[in-house]
Amino acid sequence: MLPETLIEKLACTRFNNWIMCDVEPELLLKIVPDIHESGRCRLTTCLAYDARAFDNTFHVVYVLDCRARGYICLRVRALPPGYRLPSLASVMDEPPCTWCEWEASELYGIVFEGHPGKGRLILPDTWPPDYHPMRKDAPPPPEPRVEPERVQAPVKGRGVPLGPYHPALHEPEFFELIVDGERVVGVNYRGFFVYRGIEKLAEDRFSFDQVPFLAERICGICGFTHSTAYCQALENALGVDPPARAKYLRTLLLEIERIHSHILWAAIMFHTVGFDTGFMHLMLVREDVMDAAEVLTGNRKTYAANIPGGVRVNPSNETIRAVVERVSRAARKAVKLARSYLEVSEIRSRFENVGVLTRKDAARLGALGPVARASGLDVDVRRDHPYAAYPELEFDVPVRDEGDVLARFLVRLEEIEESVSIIEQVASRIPGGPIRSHVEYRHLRYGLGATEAPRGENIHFVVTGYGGRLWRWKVRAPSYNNISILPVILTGVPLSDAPVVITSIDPCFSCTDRLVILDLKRRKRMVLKPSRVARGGGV
Amino acid sequence: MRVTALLEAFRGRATRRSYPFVEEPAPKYRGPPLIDPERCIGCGACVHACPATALSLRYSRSDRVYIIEHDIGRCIFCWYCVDACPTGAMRGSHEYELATSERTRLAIRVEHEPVECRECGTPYSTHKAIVHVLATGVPVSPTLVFTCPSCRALRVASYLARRCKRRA
Repeated sequence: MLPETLIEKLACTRFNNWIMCDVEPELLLKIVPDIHESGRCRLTTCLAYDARAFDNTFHVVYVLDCRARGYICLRVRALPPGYRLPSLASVMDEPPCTWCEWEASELYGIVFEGHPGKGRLILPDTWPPDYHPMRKDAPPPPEPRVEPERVQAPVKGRGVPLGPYHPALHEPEFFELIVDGERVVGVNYRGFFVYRGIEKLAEDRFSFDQVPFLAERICGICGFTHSTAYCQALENALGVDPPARAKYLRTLLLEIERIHSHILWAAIMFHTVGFDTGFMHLMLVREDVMDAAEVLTGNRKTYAANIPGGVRVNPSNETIRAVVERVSRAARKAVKLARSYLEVSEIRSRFENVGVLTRKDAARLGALGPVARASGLDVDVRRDHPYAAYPELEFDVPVRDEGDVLARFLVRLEEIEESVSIIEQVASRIPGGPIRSHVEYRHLRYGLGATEAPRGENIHFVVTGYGGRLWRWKVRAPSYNNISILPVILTGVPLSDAPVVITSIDPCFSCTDRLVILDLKRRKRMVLKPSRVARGGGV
Repeated sequence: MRVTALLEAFRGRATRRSYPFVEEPAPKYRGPPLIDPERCIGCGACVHACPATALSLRYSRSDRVYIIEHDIGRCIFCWYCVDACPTGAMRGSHEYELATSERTRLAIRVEHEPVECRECGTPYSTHKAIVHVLATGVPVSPTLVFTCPSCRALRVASYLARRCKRRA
């Protein structure tokens, strides 16, 4: 079915750049798999919110990215008493909605019939099964109990633990690699060790204008893209249009963030294969970019620069020009360095033809960002759903077809070059004028904000609540989709390449995980012995 | 190719400097906001604005003063309080050498003389805040401004009730 006929048939509400339609669950199961496989629209995520106060149901929203037609959100209602819904993940082949349905079933207690997930995804195994923390009437969480979690027995072959704390991983995440000799034949995955409850925190004690300060702390690298996505979602919900200068400043900061994030990623890739000299050199160059961000916003991580309705910093045009010149020089140097290192055959051979993700798999599993673009999937929110000042700027979206780690490397290096061209355009075209529009808060408005984070499409969904608080704020970071495809690309690689493949998708575990499990993990997991996983040289 | 890589790598600045010879942060670097006790009126606008709850306003019964406390250890240096301050008492600073062995050094404390309600005697605001409100020229009732919010509500309610009765 074409998206247009779909919209005509259903009861839809049109927002600025997206559409929300109410669907019956049966119809949803019938149409979404076809649409997703045809490639006209991509299913990117789903989310739930507690609407029992309004119509005694839980709402589940499936977000479809329909390129030029904008985002189409299909909303289904889980009715009492059981709050049961048929699972969309059960009728599709490992779709990108597996995790988000799983998450909704744990956090809200919605039962997805036929969902393939077994056990827990987000909450610790020791929490009571009927405790759903995101419900509006949820009591304070139970006391954490320190107890080893059950380890899934490998089906066949030998299980090699990688994580939750491992020198080759930079954040707590647990992969149990099932190996047959030197080859990985299966992967058990357990994540969400650092789920911090940010969404619940924002709904409970932050006013809408304070949430950007929390949103930018979701990620330690790409914070600005999160606060921008949140501000855009809220501006979208309240019908506010930020001034042109604010849009240009956001674009400038977003691109500077992309540059430093990609340089950091390249450095970590070299570190993962044991080439620490490359790591040090790239990190040194990156420092110039961070200093530039400090000159613009007063903070090297661009913290506290965003606010609903605009931005809070207003550097002069001369400062912007000087900063852009400095960043461009650093970025060009980083690209030149990385390219020359990649010419070295020992390094190149660690990346070439490793961890291949085919175009078909990338589309089926919902890969995002540079990972998708390295597999020939031409997706980029900046071009497909223009926001900030991107509609007025010219840039290319680098795409490669090889799908291996090297392709992911080259796509990111090309993106740095594109970002340099974007910030140079911003420096020459930035208009004057105010930097902040007035925001009038209204309750029960819906807003969707999407940005292209350095790791891919970043979606924030906002339902405004009463008294200046948010009713629901859902964050879907790009690594949420990209990590869930890791088991697929890890299968078949030699054990020694596993860390390289994991790092190649630029996983941001803290973006993906959003609650706290206090000290639970540190004392469990006796499996954390020096493992046999090869980690390159000097890690 | 290896030679290019090496040459490229060695071109550049020094990587490490020992402590006192470090680079200063950028001129617009945001350090912790500091409170000017002369200008502060104890209105609590900064307390409401603070996303990190680094600022607090409380009444100390034993000392009979209002205390505004800024805990720099919790502060995220966003300067949202600087935007909120009506008198410019909250000032962003440029400080960056904040490491200390004593946590108390990371707290700023400003004390304010309280105003007690004329009717029930409970403290409800600071002296300077009332003076500030009267000085702004906002039309306020000179009697109601010296009563606490609950007594004020009671007075207004009973006044309205009297009027309604008179009309009926």
